[in-house]
Amino acid sequence: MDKQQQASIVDDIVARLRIALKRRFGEQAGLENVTVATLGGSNRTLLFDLVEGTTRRRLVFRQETYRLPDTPFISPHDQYRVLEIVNRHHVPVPEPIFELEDADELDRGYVVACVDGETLPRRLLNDRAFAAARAGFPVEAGTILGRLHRIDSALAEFLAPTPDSIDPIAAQRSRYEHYGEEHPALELGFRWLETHRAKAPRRCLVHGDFRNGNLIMGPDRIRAVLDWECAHLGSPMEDLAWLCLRSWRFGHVDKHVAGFGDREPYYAAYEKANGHAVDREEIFYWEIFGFVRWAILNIMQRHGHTSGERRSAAFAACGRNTAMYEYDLLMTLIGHYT
Amino acid sequence: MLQDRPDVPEILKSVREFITGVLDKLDDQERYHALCANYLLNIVEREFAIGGAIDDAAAAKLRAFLGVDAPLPELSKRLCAAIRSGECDQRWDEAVALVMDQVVGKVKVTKPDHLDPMHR
Repeated sequence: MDKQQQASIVDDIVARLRIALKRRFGEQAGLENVTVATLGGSNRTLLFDLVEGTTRRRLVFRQETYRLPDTPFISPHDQYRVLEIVNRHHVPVPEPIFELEDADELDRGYVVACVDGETLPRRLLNDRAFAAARAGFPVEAGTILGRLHRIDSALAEFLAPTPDSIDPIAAQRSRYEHYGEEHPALELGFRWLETHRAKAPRRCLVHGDFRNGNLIMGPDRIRAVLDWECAHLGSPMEDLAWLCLRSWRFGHVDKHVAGFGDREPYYAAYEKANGHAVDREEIFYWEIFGFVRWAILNIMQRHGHTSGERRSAAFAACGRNTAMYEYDLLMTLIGHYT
Repeated sequence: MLQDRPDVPEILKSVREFITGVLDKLDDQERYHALCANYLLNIVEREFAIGGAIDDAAAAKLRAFLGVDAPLPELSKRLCAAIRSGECDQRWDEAVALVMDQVVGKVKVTKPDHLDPMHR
């Protein structure tokens, strides 16, 4: 897409968004200071100011124009419903403002409040500015997850039909088969997961991708949890384990909680906020699951690239990076890595 | 070798020099993709140098493990099927060691720094 095409797409969105804002906030509502965050083939994100009289709010517009047939992500409509639920339950998220409707002629999507801060893992893990946030991270992350997993799962029953809610292992297996590659390491992972299944784990609303990179942080704390596209009903230990994957430690391998700190304060904070005990054995199970899943997500990016749906050198690299997550999977499975 | 100079490593070096030369002129997004392109070139360079030997060693071990002779992709397919069906459950540790060896071979091409010292 050249710069001219991009500009015309943005102009079109802004014109329709202007009308969508007036419909909801009145004729006086204005739209200013538009910046483009991403303008992908299927997802677009713009930032803008909603101006009402003398007040001005920075908002984020997220739009899905095309749904990939093999997508592992829930619909924007379900994402928005999840945001509303968790926001009501004091999980820090960008405040949901409104959902797009057919009358807006802007495809599927929503508008949420913009939260200032940093998301890049390497900056968060290494910059002096985030020292305080780093120190508090395990306790904060444990507390947020504890709070999230206390939400009555009946409120998120609309997620029950998603493949990840029905059977997370079968969901991964089906995606893996769709991409048509042979991976003996992932077969070992699947076999181990199938022969070590937890008996009827506790089931609740889980984020599904709670990790360094999907959190907006300020110098002192976590400000918002982003990217609820993988939300589903599942074992709370799945979320707890995902944050401890070696892949999010970015070189700080001895700090198991996303490279920030230790597991014990994280687990203790979770138990305090949630009321249920952390099951360490089940966490190990979900870490193995996590490596399998992360490898398959990278194969998905490769598939998007080589099929021509989403050409990108970065996605090409993802395909080859799968080997690293297989390595971490096996090293964890045989106990060399923790 | 029938082909003329530059040879493959020399061509890779030329392309890398070009990418590195334009990095400073790119915006953040383009720069990121240019760095990914360089990363991919490094993979090609390593695969060209050691990929063949890694494949040969992997195929030999697979033949011994499965007790059949076939080309590498076919052997790999058979191993996947055997693991999936539970046939390898009785030889689990042996299967894990075999697959670990294959994965180490892949990581040696993708990003050797990622390997634990025990596998370098």
